[in-house]
Amino acid sequence: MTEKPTPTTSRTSDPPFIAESAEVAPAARIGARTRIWHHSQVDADVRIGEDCVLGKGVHVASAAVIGNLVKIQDGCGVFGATLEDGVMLAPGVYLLEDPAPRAVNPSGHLKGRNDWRREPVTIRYGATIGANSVIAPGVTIGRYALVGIGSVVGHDVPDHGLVMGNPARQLGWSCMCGHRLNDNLTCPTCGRLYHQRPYGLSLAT
Amino acid sequence: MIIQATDQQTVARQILGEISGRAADSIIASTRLSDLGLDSLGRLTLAVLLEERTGRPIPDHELLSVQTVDDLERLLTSSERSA
Ligand SMILES: [Zn+2]
Repeated sequence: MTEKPTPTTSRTSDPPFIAESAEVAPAARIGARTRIWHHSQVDADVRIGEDCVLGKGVHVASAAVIGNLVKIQDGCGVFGATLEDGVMLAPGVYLLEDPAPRAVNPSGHLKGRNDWRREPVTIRYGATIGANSVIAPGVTIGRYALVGIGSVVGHDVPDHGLVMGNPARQLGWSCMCGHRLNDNLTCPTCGRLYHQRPYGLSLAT
Repeated sequence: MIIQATDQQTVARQILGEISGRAADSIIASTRLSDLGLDSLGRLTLAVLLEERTGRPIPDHELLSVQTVDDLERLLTSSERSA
Protein backbone atom coordinates (compact mmCIF):
# COMPACT_ATOMS: atom_id res chain seq x y z
CA MET A 1 0.00 0.00 0.00
CA THR A 2 1.30 3.43 -0.90
CA GLU A 3 -1.23 5.45 1.04
CA LYS A 4 0.49 8.18 2.99
CA PRO A 5 -1.22 9.66 6.02
CA THR A 6 -0.65 13.26 5.02
CA PRO A 7 -2.17 16.07 7.07
CA THR A 8 -5.00 17.64 5.14
CA THR A 9 -5.77 21.33 5.02
CA SER A 10 -8.77 21.25 2.70
CA ARG A 11 -11.06 18.48 1.51
CA THR A 12 -9.85 18.73 -2.08
CA SER A 13 -6.24 18.17 -1.05
CA ASP A 14 -6.91 14.65 0.28
CA PRO A 15 -4.62 12.49 -1.85
CA PRO A 16 -5.90 9.63 -3.93
CA PHE A 17 -5.20 6.11 -2.73
CA ILE A 18 -3.38 3.93 -5.23
CA ALA A 19 -2.75 0.26 -4.46
CA GLU A 20 0.86 -0.81 -4.77
CA SER A 21 0.18 -3.21 -7.63
CA ALA A 22 -1.73 -0.61 -9.67
CA GLU A 23 0.10 1.17 -12.48
CA VAL A 24 -0.91 4.79 -12.67
CA ALA A 25 1.13 6.88 -15.12
CA PRO A 26 2.70 9.87 -13.37
CA ALA A 27 1.13 12.21 -15.94
CA ALA A 28 -2.39 10.89 -15.32
CA ARG A 29 -4.51 13.29 -13.27
CA ILE A 30 -6.28 11.65 -10.34
CA GLY A 31 -8.64 13.59 -8.10
CA ALA A 32 -8.78 13.76 -4.32
CA ARG A 33 -9.84 10.65 -2.39
CA THR A 34 -10.13 8.51 -5.52
CA ARG A 35 -9.12 4.91 -4.80
CA ILE A 36 -7.45 2.73 -7.42
CA TRP A 37 -7.21 -0.92 -6.45
CA HIS A 38 -4.98 -3.86 -7.28
CA HIS A 39 -3.56 -4.40 -10.77
CA SER A 40 -5.46 -1.52 -12.29
CA GLN A 41 -3.79 0.52 -15.03
CA VAL A 42 -4.34 4.19 -15.77
CA ASP A 43 -2.56 5.66 -18.80
CA ALA A 44 -0.79 9.03 -18.96
CA ASP A 45 -3.40 11.01 -20.88
CA VAL A 46 -6.29 10.04 -18.59
CA ARG A 47 -8.13 12.36 -16.20
CA ILE A 48 -10.10 10.99 -13.25
CA GLY A 49 -12.10 13.14 -10.84
CA GLU A 50 -12.61 13.07 -7.08
CA ASP A 51 -14.08 10.34 -4.87
CA CYS A 52 -14.00 7.64 -7.55
CA VAL A 53 -13.36 3.94 -7.03
CA LEU A 54 -11.59 1.76 -9.58
CA GLY A 55 -11.78 -1.91 -8.63
CA LYS A 56 -9.30 -4.66 -9.35
CA GLY A 57 -7.84 -5.00 -12.85
CA VAL A 58 -9.43 -1.94 -14.44
CA HIS A 59 -7.74 -0.39 -17.51
CA VAL A 60 -8.42 3.27 -18.29
CA ALA A 61 -6.73 4.35 -21.52
CA SER A 62 -6.72 6.58 -24.57
CA ALA A 63 -7.41 9.98 -23.01
CA ALA A 64 -10.53 8.88 -21.17
CA VAL A 65 -12.13 11.57 -19.00
CA ILE A 66 -13.89 10.46 -15.82
CA GLY A 67 -15.90 12.76 -13.55
CA ASN A 68 -16.43 12.66 -9.79
CA LEU A 69 -18.10 9.92 -7.72
CA VAL A 70 -17.67 7.33 -10.47
CA LYS A 71 -17.54 3.64 -9.58
CA ILE A 72 -15.73 1.30 -11.97
CA GLN A 73 -15.78 -2.29 -10.78
CA ASP A 74 -13.38 -5.18 -11.37
CA GLY A 75 -12.01 -5.91 -14.81
CA CYS A 76 -13.50 -3.03 -16.80
CA GLY A 77 -11.88 -1.54 -19.92
CA VAL A 78 -12.48 2.17 -20.51
CA PHE A 79 -11.00 3.26 -23.85
CA GLY A 80 -11.23 6.97 -24.55
CA ALA A 81 -14.70 7.31 -23.06
CA THR A 82 -16.17 10.31 -21.25
CA LEU A 83 -17.93 9.37 -18.01
CA GLU A 84 -19.91 12.11 -16.28
CA ASP A 85 -20.28 12.27 -12.50
CA GLY A 86 -22.00 9.43 -10.68
CA VAL A 87 -21.58 6.80 -13.38
CA MET A 88 -21.29 3.14 -12.43
CA LEU A 89 -19.69 0.39 -14.50
CA ALA A 90 -20.37 -3.08 -13.07
CA PRO A 91 -17.65 -5.76 -13.38
CA GLY A 92 -16.40 -6.65 -16.84
CA VAL A 93 -17.80 -3.70 -18.80
CA TYR A 94 -15.97 -2.62 -21.97
CA LEU A 95 -16.37 0.82 -23.52
CA LEU A 96 -14.92 0.62 -27.03
CA GLU A 97 -13.77 3.38 -29.36
CA ASP A 98 -12.59 1.92 -32.69
CA PRO A 99 -15.47 1.59 -35.18
CA ALA A 100 -13.27 -0.24 -37.71
CA PRO A 101 -11.10 -2.55 -35.63
CA ARG A 102 -8.21 -4.20 -37.49
CA ALA A 103 -4.82 -5.36 -36.32
CA VAL A 104 -3.26 -4.34 -39.64
CA ASN A 105 -3.90 -1.47 -42.05
CA PRO A 106 -4.63 -2.16 -45.77
CA SER A 107 -0.90 -2.05 -46.59
CA GLY A 108 -0.27 -4.92 -44.21
CA HIS A 109 1.43 -3.06 -41.39
CA LEU A 110 0.40 -3.14 -37.78
CA LYS A 111 -2.24 -0.48 -37.25
CA GLY A 112 -0.81 2.46 -35.33
CA ARG A 113 -2.12 5.55 -33.62
CA ASN A 114 -2.68 7.42 -36.89
CA ASP A 115 -4.49 4.61 -38.69
CA TRP A 116 -7.78 5.05 -36.98
CA ARG A 117 -10.38 7.55 -36.00
CA ARG A 118 -11.52 7.55 -32.38
CA GLU A 119 -15.23 7.35 -31.71
CA PRO A 120 -15.38 7.06 -27.95
CA VAL A 121 -18.41 6.32 -25.81
CA THR A 122 -20.14 8.94 -23.66
CA ILE A 123 -21.90 7.94 -20.45
CA ARG A 124 -23.99 10.66 -18.91
CA TYR A 125 -24.68 11.54 -15.26
CA GLY A 126 -25.81 8.75 -12.96
CA ALA A 127 -26.09 6.00 -15.59
CA THR A 128 -25.31 2.37 -14.74
CA ILE A 129 -23.87 -0.24 -17.11
CA GLY A 130 -24.60 -3.85 -16.09
CA ALA A 131 -21.92 -6.51 -15.68
CA ASN A 132 -20.22 -7.85 -18.79
CA SER A 133 -21.88 -5.35 -21.09
CA VAL A 134 -20.14 -3.95 -24.14
CA ILE A 135 -20.85 -0.46 -25.46
CA ALA A 136 -20.05 0.06 -29.15
CA PRO A 137 -17.93 3.02 -30.34
CA GLY A 138 -19.70 6.37 -30.58
CA VAL A 139 -22.69 5.42 -28.43
CA THR A 140 -24.08 7.85 -25.84
CA ILE A 141 -25.83 6.45 -22.77
CA GLY A 142 -28.29 8.96 -21.32
CA ARG A 143 -28.57 10.34 -17.79
CA TYR A 144 -29.66 7.71 -15.25
CA ALA A 145 -30.06 5.12 -18.01
CA LEU A 146 -29.74 1.48 -16.95
CA VAL A 147 -28.09 -1.13 -19.16
CA GLY A 148 -28.98 -4.69 -18.13
CA ILE A 149 -26.45 -7.44 -17.47
CA GLY A 150 -24.60 -8.82 -20.47
CA SER A 151 -25.95 -6.34 -23.01
CA VAL A 152 -24.39 -5.32 -26.31
CA VAL A 153 -25.38 -1.70 -26.90
CA GLY A 154 -25.02 -0.36 -30.44
CA HIS A 155 -27.40 2.61 -30.30
CA ASP A 156 -27.79 5.65 -28.08
CA VAL A 157 -29.92 5.19 -24.97
CA PRO A 158 -32.24 8.05 -23.89
CA ASP A 159 -32.21 9.60 -20.40
CA HIS A 160 -33.62 7.05 -17.89
CA GLY A 161 -33.85 4.41 -20.65
CA LEU A 162 -33.76 0.77 -19.50
CA VAL A 163 -32.15 -1.43 -22.13
CA MET A 164 -31.10 -5.06 -22.19
CA GLY A 165 -30.04 -7.86 -24.52
CA ASN A 166 -27.92 -8.48 -27.58
CA PRO A 167 -28.62 -6.37 -29.51
CA ALA A 168 -29.85 -4.22 -26.62
CA ARG A 169 -33.49 -3.14 -26.80
CA GLN A 170 -35.31 -0.57 -24.73
CA LEU A 171 -37.75 -2.35 -22.43
CA GLY A 172 -38.81 0.48 -20.17
CA TRP A 173 -37.58 3.32 -18.02
CA SER A 174 -35.54 3.43 -14.85
CA CYS A 175 -35.78 5.74 -11.85
CA MET A 176 -32.92 7.70 -10.30
CA CYS A 177 -33.11 5.15 -7.47
CA GLY A 178 -32.45 2.25 -9.87
CA HIS A 179 -35.91 0.69 -10.01
CA ARG A 180 -38.09 0.27 -13.07
CA LEU A 181 -40.92 2.78 -13.60
CA ASN A 182 -44.50 1.62 -14.00
CA ASP A 183 -46.79 2.42 -16.97
CA ASN A 184 -47.57 5.85 -15.51
CA LEU A 185 -43.85 6.73 -15.43
CA THR A 186 -43.91 6.61 -11.63
CA CYS A 187 -41.43 4.71 -9.49
CA PRO A 188 -43.19 2.04 -7.41
CA THR A 189 -40.31 2.14 -4.91
CA CYS A 190 -39.63 5.82 -4.22
CA GLY A 191 -42.71 7.45 -5.80
CA ARG A 192 -40.85 9.84 -8.11
CA LEU A 193 -42.84 10.88 -11.18
CA TYR A 194 -41.34 11.55 -14.62
CA HIS A 195 -42.37 13.26 -17.86
CA GLN A 196 -41.55 12.28 -21.40
CA ARG A 197 -39.10 14.60 -23.15
CA PRO A 198 -37.59 14.49 -26.63
CA TYR A 199 -34.35 13.04 -25.21
CA GLY A 200 -35.98 10.59 -22.77
CA LEU A 201 -37.50 11.26 -19.37
CA SER A 202 -36.95 13.94 -16.78
CA LEU A 203 -38.29 14.39 -13.27
CA ALA A 204 -41.71 16.03 -13.12
CA THR A 205 -41.43 19.34 -11.31
CA MET B 1 -59.05 -8.20 -41.48
CA ILE B 2 -61.12 -9.82 -38.75
CA ILE B 3 -59.34 -13.11 -39.32
CA GLN B 4 -55.97 -11.37 -39.10
CA ALA B 5 -56.96 -9.68 -35.86
CA THR B 6 -58.00 -13.03 -34.40
CA ASP B 7 -54.68 -14.55 -35.42
CA GLN B 8 -52.81 -11.75 -33.71
CA GLN B 9 -54.92 -12.19 -30.58
CA THR B 10 -53.96 -15.84 -30.49
CA VAL B 11 -50.27 -15.15 -31.02
CA ALA B 12 -50.09 -12.35 -28.45
CA ARG B 13 -52.06 -14.18 -25.75
CA GLN B 14 -50.22 -17.43 -26.36
CA ILE B 15 -46.84 -15.78 -25.93
CA LEU B 16 -47.98 -13.79 -22.88
CA GLY B 17 -49.28 -17.05 -21.42
CA GLU B 18 -45.94 -18.76 -21.97
CA ILE B 19 -43.96 -15.94 -20.40
CA SER B 20 -46.24 -15.35 -17.42
CA GLY B 21 -47.13 -18.98 -16.80
CA ARG B 22 -50.84 -18.15 -17.01
CA ALA B 23 -53.39 -19.93 -19.19
CA ALA B 24 -53.74 -18.06 -22.51
CA ASP B 25 -57.55 -18.03 -22.24
CA SER B 26 -57.38 -16.26 -18.86
CA ILE B 27 -55.68 -13.32 -20.57
CA ILE B 28 -58.21 -10.81 -21.89
CA ALA B 29 -57.97 -7.60 -23.91
CA SER B 30 -57.99 -5.37 -20.83
CA THR B 31 -55.25 -7.32 -19.01
CA ARG B 32 -52.26 -5.12 -18.28
CA LEU B 33 -48.81 -6.50 -19.05
CA SER B 34 -47.69 -5.30 -15.63
CA ASP B 35 -50.45 -7.41 -14.03
CA LEU B 36 -48.92 -10.45 -15.74
CA GLY B 37 -45.77 -9.77 -13.75
CA LEU B 38 -43.68 -8.99 -16.83
CA ASP B 39 -40.35 -7.56 -15.73
CA SER B 40 -37.71 -6.22 -18.13
CA LEU B 41 -36.51 -9.70 -19.04
CA GLY B 42 -40.14 -10.72 -19.66
CA ARG B 43 -40.58 -7.75 -21.98
CA LEU B 44 -37.40 -8.66 -23.84
CA THR B 45 -38.65 -12.24 -24.26
CA LEU B 46 -41.99 -10.89 -25.48
CA ALA B 47 -40.34 -8.70 -28.13
CA VAL B 48 -38.15 -11.52 -29.42
CA LEU B 49 -40.92 -14.16 -29.48
CA LEU B 50 -43.38 -11.81 -31.22
CA GLU B 51 -40.86 -11.05 -33.94
CA GLU B 52 -39.96 -14.71 -34.37
CA ARG B 53 -43.55 -15.87 -34.68
CA THR B 54 -45.02 -13.00 -36.70
CA GLY B 55 -41.91 -12.54 -38.85
CA ARG B 56 -42.11 -8.75 -38.44
CA PRO B 57 -39.76 -6.41 -36.64
CA ILE B 58 -41.36 -4.49 -33.77
CA PRO B 59 -39.56 -1.21 -33.03
CA ASP B 60 -38.74 -0.66 -29.35
CA HIS B 61 -40.63 2.64 -29.12
CA GLU B 62 -43.83 0.96 -30.32
CA LEU B 63 -43.63 -1.83 -27.77
CA LEU B 64 -42.71 0.68 -25.04
CA SER B 65 -46.11 2.34 -25.34
CA VAL B 66 -47.96 -0.97 -24.95
CA GLN B 67 -49.71 -1.23 -21.57
CA THR B 68 -52.56 -3.69 -22.16
CA VAL B 69 -53.13 -6.83 -24.21
CA ASP B 70 -55.48 -4.75 -26.36
CA ASP B 71 -52.66 -2.25 -27.10
CA LEU B 72 -50.42 -5.13 -28.12
CA GLU B 73 -52.99 -6.70 -30.42
CA ARG B 74 -53.68 -3.36 -32.09
CA LEU B 75 -49.97 -2.89 -32.65
CA LEU B 76 -49.63 -6.32 -34.25
CA THR B 77 -52.66 -5.77 -36.48
CA SER B 78 -51.44 -2.39 -37.66
CA SER B 79 -47.94 -3.66 -38.37
CA GLU B 80 -49.49 -6.52 -40.35
CA ARG B 81 -51.55 -4.08 -42.39
CA SER B 82 -48.58 -1.91 -43.22
CA ALA B 83 -46.33 -4.88 -44.01
ZN1 LIG C 1 -37.38 5.38 -7.58
